[in-house]
Amino acid sequence: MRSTASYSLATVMTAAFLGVGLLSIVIASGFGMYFGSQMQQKIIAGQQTLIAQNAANAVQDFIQKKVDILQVTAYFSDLGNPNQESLQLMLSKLLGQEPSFRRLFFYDAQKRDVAKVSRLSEGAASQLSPQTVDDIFSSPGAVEAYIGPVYIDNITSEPMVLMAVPITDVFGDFHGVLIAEVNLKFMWDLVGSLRVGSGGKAYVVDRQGDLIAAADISRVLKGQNLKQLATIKEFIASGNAEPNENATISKGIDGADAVSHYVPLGMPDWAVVVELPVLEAYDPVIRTLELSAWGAGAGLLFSIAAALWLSKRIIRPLLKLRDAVRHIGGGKLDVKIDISSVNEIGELAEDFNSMASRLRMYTGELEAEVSERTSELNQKVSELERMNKLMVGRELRMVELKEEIKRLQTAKEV
Amino acid sequence: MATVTSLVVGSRSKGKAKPAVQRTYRVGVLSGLDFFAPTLDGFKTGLADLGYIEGTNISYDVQKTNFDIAAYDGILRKFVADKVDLIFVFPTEATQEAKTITQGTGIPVVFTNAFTEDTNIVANIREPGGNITGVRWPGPDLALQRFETLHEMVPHASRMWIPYQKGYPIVKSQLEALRPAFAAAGMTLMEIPASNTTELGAELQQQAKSFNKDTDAILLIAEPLLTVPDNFAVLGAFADEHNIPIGGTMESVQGHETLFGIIPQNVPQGKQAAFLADKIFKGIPAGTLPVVSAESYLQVNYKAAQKAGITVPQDLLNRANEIIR
Repeated sequence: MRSTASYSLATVMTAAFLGVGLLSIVIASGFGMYFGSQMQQKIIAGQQTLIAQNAANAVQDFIQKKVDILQVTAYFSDLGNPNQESLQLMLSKLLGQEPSFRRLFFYDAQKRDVAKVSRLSEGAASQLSPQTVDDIFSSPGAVEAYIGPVYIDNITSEPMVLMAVPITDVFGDFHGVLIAEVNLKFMWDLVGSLRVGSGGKAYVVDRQGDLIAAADISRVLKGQNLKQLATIKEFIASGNAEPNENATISKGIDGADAVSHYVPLGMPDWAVVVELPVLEAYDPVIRTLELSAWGAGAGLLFSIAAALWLSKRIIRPLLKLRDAVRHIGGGKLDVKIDISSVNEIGELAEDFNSMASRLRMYTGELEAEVSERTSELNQKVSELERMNKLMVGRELRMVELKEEIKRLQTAKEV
Repeated sequence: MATVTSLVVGSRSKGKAKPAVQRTYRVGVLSGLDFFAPTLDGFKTGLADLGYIEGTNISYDVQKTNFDIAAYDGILRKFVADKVDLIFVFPTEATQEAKTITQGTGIPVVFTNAFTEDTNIVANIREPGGNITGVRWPGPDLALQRFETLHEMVPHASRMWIPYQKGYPIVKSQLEALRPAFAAAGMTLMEIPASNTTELGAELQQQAKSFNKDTDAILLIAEPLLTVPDNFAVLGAFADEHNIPIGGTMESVQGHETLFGIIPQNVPQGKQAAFLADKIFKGIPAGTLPVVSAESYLQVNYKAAQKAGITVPQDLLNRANEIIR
């Protein structure tokens, strides 16, 4: 046997109104939140790209300035027809002017070490290895500028890089290369001064994921490799100079969730990575969602109130009708429903009132006829009673007479 | 969307966290040699740049001695008793003392103006170990640079005299680095160890007859004896009297001057140390913070060279960070 739950119409209607209201709010808010957050995420990605690009420009400027210095020196110095003394003076002047140059070399077209100067003692300032010299001379970049891989100085643990520019004369004939060993720690201040939001970070990695520059120099001095980070992994895997389109949420350099973005420098083959703590990056989205949630909450309260009010408004006349029917069922025909609605319920109430009125009228007429008939009946009954009494008196006389007769007969026999 | 929602919930729950209590850090400073005293200015400036304002969230207990090694112990023990949050110390001996005294106390030590070669201050510069880190001097290479520069300025010199504090630990590594260089250059290295002004004066007088203005020069290495003005005055007077050029550190006492100085500057070193202190305040163990190397700075005293009749090579002037005229 199937059991059916019984709910009042008010409950059903309230639930229905509430359900419809909630559904509308959820759908509207859901769409709003989804598209709103999508848009915000695009804005955040755009901002991140801008920040990363600015940081990349700053780092690239640093590198480009070093290359420019070497190229200008190569151009204006008479390196095409050098003598040992003038070369030495030119290199020492260059070393004095640019603090980030730790060693400078001039190699002629036959790959011979013609001159060199160093901030280190002669013992510490060893020659470049033949392999390194070959790499520089054979590099396609040597046509304009060569920037080698980053390496770590054994004594100071500081990252170094070799930059080289070709020496040519006015005819474009190749006479050798001017090579500078650049101490990248002079880039640390620059990277450390890059501001990424209020709690963000910017740092530079090479294609192997080795950290080259960061505000936290201790990480660099430790020779930290960051290839385990998703963003760096992506940079290493990409193998090209295109920035990643989307800012991704992943573990940052500190191990906390961050929105990360990288911009490859191209030349050199490094990338500038910017990270923003995820809560800071998504603050506008969070605020939008919070506002949406508050709006949805207010909508929910309004829906409940509206559902209650509407159901009451619809149910109240029905309840009056129900009560009126119960009164009439109880025999009270003087019921009149007070409903002023100008709708189907109002018409129903009016019809009900007119029906009740007609019922009262029919009942009155019926009662009058019944009364008249009752009166006639009573009269007949009275007559009958009188006749009856008369008949009964005669009957009793007959009985008395019969008894007298009987007594006389008895006496005669005796 | 789910990530963003979780962010909203996360941000609310994190928002209820109690705000961090602003604390005041107490730093014990042992300025163990007046010659390096400006390092403290760099340290304070560096920390101020990082948001540590003296009197607001940081206080300094500054104790100065001028190479009074016996006083180091008492000062450092007071810092330990006071349970300071960090000890900032220089030079090498004070750092060695600080390392010993703070062992097991958990008080981190940041040093500057200290050699890390043969001093047992750190295990290695990438991972110093213990509870210590700091800014190292470039070590024996600095001595070699000074030797090469003096040789460049005074090419006729075939013998160089090196006065130094007797028994001073970092001298050994410098002399060991210099001997092969002297040999390679076909030059003679003469040592003048002394403990104080009197000993230095006596030693110089004893060797006076050996000095030759045409073949000799005096090379100053990294050690404390000649950082004391009185001691340098004795050496300077002797050198001027015998027309012997002096080079290595930049000094000028009572009109006696050196030709050049190659030395890391104090204020930048202090700033580098401030950066390390900030990391330590933020909870990173000092022993895991790599030691930072100081940059050397070449000053050429052109005026003194001219006065001594020495022609400063153009190559050297080109490389100089500062030329005094």
